[in-house]
Formats: sequence, C-alpha cells, structure tokens
Amino acid sequence: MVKQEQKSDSIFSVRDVEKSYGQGDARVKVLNGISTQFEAGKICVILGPSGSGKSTLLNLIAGLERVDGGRILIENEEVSSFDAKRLGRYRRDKLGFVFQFYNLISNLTVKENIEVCEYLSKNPLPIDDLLHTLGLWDHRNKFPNQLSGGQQQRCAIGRALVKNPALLLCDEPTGALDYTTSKEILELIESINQKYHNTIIIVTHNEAIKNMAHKILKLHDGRVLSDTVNEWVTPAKELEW
Amino acid sequence: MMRNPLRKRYPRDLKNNYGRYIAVFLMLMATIALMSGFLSVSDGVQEAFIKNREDCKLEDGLFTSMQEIPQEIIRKIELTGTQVFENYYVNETVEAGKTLRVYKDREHINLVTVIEGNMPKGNKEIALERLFAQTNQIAIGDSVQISGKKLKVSGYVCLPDYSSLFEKNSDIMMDSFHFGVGIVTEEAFADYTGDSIVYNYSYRYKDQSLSNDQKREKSKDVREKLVENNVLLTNFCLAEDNNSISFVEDDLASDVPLMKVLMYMIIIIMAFVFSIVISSTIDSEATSIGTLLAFGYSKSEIIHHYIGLPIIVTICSAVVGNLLGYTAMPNLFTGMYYGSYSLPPMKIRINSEALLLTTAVPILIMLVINTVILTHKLSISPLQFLRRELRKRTNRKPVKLPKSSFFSRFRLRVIFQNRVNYLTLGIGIFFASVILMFGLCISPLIEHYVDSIQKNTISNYQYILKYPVEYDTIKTSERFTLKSLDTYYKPAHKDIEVVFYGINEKSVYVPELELSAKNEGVYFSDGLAKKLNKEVGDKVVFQDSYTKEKYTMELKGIHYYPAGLAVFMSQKELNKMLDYDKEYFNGYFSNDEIKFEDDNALLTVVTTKDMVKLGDQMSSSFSQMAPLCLGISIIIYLVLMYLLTKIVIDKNAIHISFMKVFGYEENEIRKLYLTSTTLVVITSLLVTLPLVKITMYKCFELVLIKISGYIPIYVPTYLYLEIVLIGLISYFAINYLHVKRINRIEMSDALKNKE
Repeated sequence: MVKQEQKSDSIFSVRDVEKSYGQGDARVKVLNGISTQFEAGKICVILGPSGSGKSTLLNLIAGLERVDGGRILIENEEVSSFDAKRLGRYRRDKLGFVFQFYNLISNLTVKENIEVCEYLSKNPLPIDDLLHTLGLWDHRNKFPNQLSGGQQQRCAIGRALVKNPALLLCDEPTGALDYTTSKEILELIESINQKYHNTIIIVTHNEAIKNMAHKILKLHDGRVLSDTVNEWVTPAKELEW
Repeated sequence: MMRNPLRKRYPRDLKNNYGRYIAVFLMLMATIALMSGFLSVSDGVQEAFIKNREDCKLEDGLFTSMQEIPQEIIRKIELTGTQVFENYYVNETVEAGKTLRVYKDREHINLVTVIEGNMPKGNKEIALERLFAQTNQIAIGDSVQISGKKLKVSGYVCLPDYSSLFEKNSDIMMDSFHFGVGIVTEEAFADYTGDSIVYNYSYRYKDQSLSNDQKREKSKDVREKLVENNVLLTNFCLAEDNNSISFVEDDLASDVPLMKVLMYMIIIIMAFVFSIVISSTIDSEATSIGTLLAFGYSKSEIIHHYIGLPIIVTICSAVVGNLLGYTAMPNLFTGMYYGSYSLPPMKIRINSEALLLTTAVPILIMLVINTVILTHKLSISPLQFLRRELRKRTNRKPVKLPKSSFFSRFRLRVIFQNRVNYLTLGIGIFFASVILMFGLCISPLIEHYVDSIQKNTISNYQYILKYPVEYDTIKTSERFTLKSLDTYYKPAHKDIEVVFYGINEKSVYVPELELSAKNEGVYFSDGLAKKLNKEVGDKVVFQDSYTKEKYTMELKGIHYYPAGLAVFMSQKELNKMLDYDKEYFNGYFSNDEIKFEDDNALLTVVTTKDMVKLGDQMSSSFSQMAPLCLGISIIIYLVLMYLLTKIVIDKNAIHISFMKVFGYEENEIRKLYLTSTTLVVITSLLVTLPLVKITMYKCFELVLIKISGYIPIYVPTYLYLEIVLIGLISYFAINYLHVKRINRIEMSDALKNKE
C-alpha cells in the first residue's frame, strides 16, 4: 500500500447536478443533486450499480449531455453553460475518453488511430514513446481486428492520452475484458497517471477497482452515497476480485 | 499543421469498397464524358457555323417569282436598303426519287465553302453538297447523270443557305437521302433555260447592324414592293423562318439545354446515391463517429471527412470524363451532327464554360447534396452516436404488418428498413426507363407514322399545278384547289405553314367529309388540331404570307390525315375566300399515274413513296439515338441496382451471419434478403411505367414544337414489356453478384466479439 500525497487544487467541481430522462409519467430522475469535486492529477473512481447514474455523471462532465439543474465547473468556467461550439472546443482541448468497447476506427492502424487524436492537440505527446509505454510498439502497424481485446483497449487509451488531456474519462474501461487483461489495463492507467499526471475519472461497477483511486465516489439511485478520499491507495497490480 | 489522419482511410476505403466506387466513377465519368464531348462539339459546330455565315455572306431572306423579275423592279426593291442577287436554280432528278437542286456558283451572297476537292470547272463538272453526296455514296471523281448529261463530281461543298437539307420549307424533316444541292459553273448553268429555271432571289440588308425588328420591317418593305410591282411570288421567306438556314441553330439551341438537364439529372441521382452510401457507412461507424465527436472533432470535420471520397471520385470522373470528352467522344457527336446537317469544318477547342459545367458544377452538386444530407444525418448528439441511437425519434412504433407468413413479414421489414434506398432506386429506375423508352420508341414511332400516312393518303398521286390545266383524258382524277396559308404557332413563336385543300363537295377521294359551299366551318387534319391545341368550335386565324390578308376559320371537324398540317373545305368556298374564279383549281387527286403532255404546268407531284422517303430519312437521323439511349439506361439500371441493393446486404451482413448460425439455408436467406429487393425492382419497373409514358409524351411534345409538322406519338404495347424485361435482366445480373456475396458471409462473423 502506498500513501498518496493529497493535493487541494481541485480542477472540477460538480454542484447540485440534476438530470432526468423521459417525459410525463415516464420521467426518471437519474441524478438528484450530485455535488463533488475532483483534484488535479488524481484518479477518481465512480462506483455504483446499474442505473445509479454514474455514466450519466461522466457524460455530463464530458459535456456530452446537458444538466437539468446545478453546475459543472472547470477552472472556474461553467461547462454547463457552454454552447455546442464551445463544448466541442472544451472536449478537444481538455478531455480524453476510454470506452468499454474501444470504438477504434477499423480501417486505421494502431498508430493511425492514435494519430486521429494527435491531430486535435496543439501539444501532443510523442506517439512513439506512447506506443512503447502502451506496449503496442510491435503492433503499431496492425489494424484493430488483428489485436486482442486488451491490445485494442490499450490503443484506445493511447488515443485518449496522446492529446495529453487534463482529464481522462474512462467508462467501464475493463468491462469487456478478462481478469488478467483488465489488470494490465488498470496498471497502464495507473502508470499513465504517474507519468503524465492527468486527472482520471473511472466509472465502474467493479468494487475492487476503487482501491487504486485517490477518491471514491459512490452513487446510488442518483444520489451520492459516499464521497471519500482513499488514504491507502493500492497499486493496480495488487488488486484482486 | 498536421494533416487529418482520417485521410488515411480513403485509399483503404477505396480498396475495400472498390466495386461501389468503380460503379459510381464509371457512371459519373460516362455522364461527364458524354456532356463534355457533346458541349465541345456543339460549341465547335456553333462557332464554325456562325463564322461561316458571316464569311459566306448568308442571305437575310429570299423570294421566288413565277417569272424573271425585271432589273428596274429589282432596283426599286433595293431602295428599301437591301441588295438583291439572282440565285436561280433548277431541280433535277439524279436517280429515281432523288432531287438535286443545281445553282451556279455564287459571287456575292451565300458563298460556297469547299470541304474536299475543288470547285467545278468548265461545263462538265459539278460540286456536290457534302451530306447528300456522302449519304448517297457519291465520291469525288464519280459522275452523276443530270438531264441526260454526265457531270463529274469535282468536290464536296457546303452552303450557308442549305445547312439543313429541306427541299420545301414545309417539310417535316430534312432529307439528305433524296434531296441535295449542286454547284456548276455559270457556263454550265447557261444550258438551263425556260420553265426549268426557278427564279429565286436572295437579298441582304445593306446595314447588317439592324435589330431583328428593324430587319423584319425591312423585309416587310421588300415584300410590299414586290406585291406593288405585281411580281407573282411563289415563295417569300426570311432567313430566320427558312428551315434550311435556321433549323440547325434551333436544334443546337434546344439540344444543349436538353443534354444539360439529362446529365445533371444523372449527377443529382448519383449524388443522392452517394449520400445513401455515406449514410449507411455512418450508421455502421456510429460509435467511431461518436468517439471522434466526444474527443472534440467538430461536425464539419466529420462531414468533411465523409464527403471527401465522393468529391475525390467526382473530381477523378470529371478529369477522366473531360479527357475522354475531348478525345474519344467528339467522333460520336460530330458523326451525329455532320450526319444530319451540312456544316462547315469545325475545330474542337477547350471551352472554359463547358469545362466549368463538366467539372465545377458536378462537384458543386455533389458537395451541396451531400453536405445537406450529412448535416442532417449528423445533427444528433455524440452520445446518441455512441449509443447507436441514430434516429431523432426513437419512440417510433414499428409498422404493424398484416397477418402473413414469417417470410412475408420479414421481407416487409427489410423493405421498411431500406425504404430510402428503395425509393431512390425507384426514382432511378423511372429515369432510366424514360431514356430507354425514348430510345426504343423512335423506330416503331417512325414506322407507325409512315404506315398511317400510307394508309390514310387521299390518293396515290397529288398533282400540283402552276395554273389550271384541263386534262380530259383523266377519268379517275378529281380537281382540287390548294393554297398555303400561315398561322401563328405560339409555342415556337413563329408562323407555321398550313395547306388548304379546296375539295369537291361530292368528292370520291374524301367522301367522309361533309363539305358545302355555305360558310359552315372547316375540317382540320388531326395533327393540325393537336399542334394548335384546338377543338371543334374553336376559331383560328390564317394569313396569306404575301398579301397579308387574314382569314378566320371555325373548326367544324377533325379529319385523320397524318401526312401534314392541312385544312379541308369546300372547293367553292375556298375559291370564293381567295377571290379565285368559281371553277379555279390547281391540283388533281388521282390513284393512277398521269402522263402530262405539258410538263410546264406541273409544279410538283406528291406520292405515297415520298412519305416512305420521309420515314427513311427520319430513321437515319435518329439511328444513333437508340443505341445511345439503350446504353445509358442499362448503365443507370446496373449502377443504381448494384449500389443501392448492395447496401441492403452490407447493412444486414451480421444478421445474415446469425441466420446461418441459426441453421437457415442459403436459399432461405436469399428469400429473406434478396426477394424483398427483387419485389421492389419488379414493382418499380411496373409502377413507374404509366409515369414513364406521361413523361415520355411530355418530352415528345417539346420535341414536336421544333418541327413544322406533327407526328403522332406512338408507343406500342410490346415496348413496355421490353423495358420491364431489360430492367429485369439488368437486375438479375446484379442479383447474381449479391447471391455470391451472401454465400461468402461466414458464420464466424456472428460469433466474433462485437458490440
């Protein structure tokens, strides 16, 4: 167990955020007054069962959806008030995404898939270094369908990371992977955090993953069940489930 | 600045979907090549034609007199501000049924251009108008027999006053088979004397900068002067009303927009096809697009990316199409123009406007249509793309299907799923069917026209006389009065000539008409009634083009007489109306050939054989249209069917794989996925037929405006069957490829780890 140094400079804060879906009688409140904050350079795990609102919160932070109430602030700017164009710019400049199902472009090679996001950045990370870090150097000229699930997810992480985003959002990054590969991916995320100091938010329903986070946000039925700082961060390779 | 790495997908996408892109490329390239070739030739022809008219001092009008006009009258006429030149000719028979109009070489007006060989020398040579000579395979150096004299062909020429070979201005079609023009020396022409000479005069305005209205006024002055001086005119015609001069120009003027409309329609259809292809790709790549949008790619960057290949393909098609258009295609179109008209030599030049129309405009069409459709397609949020919620209305209830077998319901679902593809395919099939019907119907239409003329002729021979001559020996013949009057034809903004038949009230040749001397109205030939859009009871104004006397006629009935635009009335009534003698006549109907003792009185003979000649000429003029239309329509059928139905297979490839896993056999899968397409193709071919017919008739009406006569539109029933059959054969060729494609889909595809 490694005790992490805690930083107080939060880059994100979510205040009284509400979000509902549907209309009339079918209207369901998915988030009901969520408030929290995320510190720069830290890993945060959002936990919760299906329907707890964790993916919705991630989408709101990403600016992929709009809040019905409350505010989302980044560096004192209110993301929730951005128009579509500014949201696009915000995502382009600040965010990286990792999805459960990789979403790689099938007719681009590993390296080219990463270049897709390199193109968006004014100050990208060197791709070759990144490929080595990801363990994909030998596979850089392969197409996604020539890779294993773990390798595809590594590529997806590389794609998200090449922009050197302030915030890396991971939506169930190990959801489609087996135990061993999942651990490899989590170790990779951890090493990236240590190397590049990005703020990382991981949404998962896997309780074990919370142990590698600096902050754990538990949601249930659209509300914050607990919002704690993990004093004793477990290295990813020691996680068990 | 780094180039967008998404561009790297282009060559791979091209490689993986080469069939799709080759089909679109071929279609666009062929369309652009045709258009570019056509525009380059029509521009070249137009330029050469206009220059030749100026260089060769084309007449502004002509008049023909029964007798030679004395010089003092000519001088009086020239006081109107015109120069009048003798342009006498003789009509000679060269072979059975072939007339050669012989002029002496011109020095001041309508100058001759030598195309090949030389101008004639001495009195034993003749230069022939090129088209007539080539149509009748008369080579330079050959001899032609004219009035018992053998004349050697010294060369081929073209004449600005005979760019279209109309023997008479009222002829429906030019006729290079049976009518041509020859030029002999003054010395050779001096051999013709007396009644064989037609006293034709051509005039030109001294001031060539006059406006069209001023020119018309001046021509009016010329005609008035002629009438004032008692010149017996048999013809007076302004250049712009003279089909031999103006028909090419009118034809070029209407061909170019028609061709443009046809080509742009194809490009618009192809742009829609591309947008369907892209939409289908976007559907299949929805999560990748959602990811890109989530990463901060803008919608315009995504549109830019997806629109890239269509634009690249269009640019390639435009480049190759234009190269072919300026190299291979001109032969086809010059063949069409020079095979129909007598034109001066032309040069193919790169025309900046044509280049713009065949490059920038197709690219712009592709860009606008695809941008609009893709902007709409990408109007959903990144999250919806990630979740594959690709429709704005996600709560749409499934269409309730009637109770039927599982297979029928399944096929209906496939049709609903692909309704946009099938709708576009239906529109494409309609469009191709119109072109196909146009190409296929030309030949039966001409045959039907000639046949109906032959069957509905008044008599085997119509003898038209210069003046009344009694021939007592002819017992079966019947006298009639013939007069040509003009009426204004609004759609073409010009006067058309109508032949008035004054017929005996007890005619044995036209017994079905109730004719009486009382002014009770006249019969119109059905073609005239249709052309002028008149019904029984309507009144029409006719005018004598020489005297300007106006006559208002009430339409009493319609007589089926397809040979021309004619009015039938009582002979007594016509004579009275024209202030002729009560017993005046200038023609004979006869079923037997008449040997006239005095040929001088005979102006012309119209036989049923002349009508067949017309059919030959029409068939020859349109002969290249049929294979061209057939080729274009089959290409459209094949390309659209291939592209739009392939998407159905591609879209359902994973489901087809699942079906195989479930245990469905290949023929069952074909029934599920291909039969729905087959049904749509058959339905489209059948359902669009009435619409094809209506469109076809409307197109033909537009074509008919150009010609002096009226040709009844005729589409035999078997043609509809032919269209459906050609459509089906094209489809089954494509279907065969799809069957192979379905068979290639593997079960393992369904078992792979997919989202």
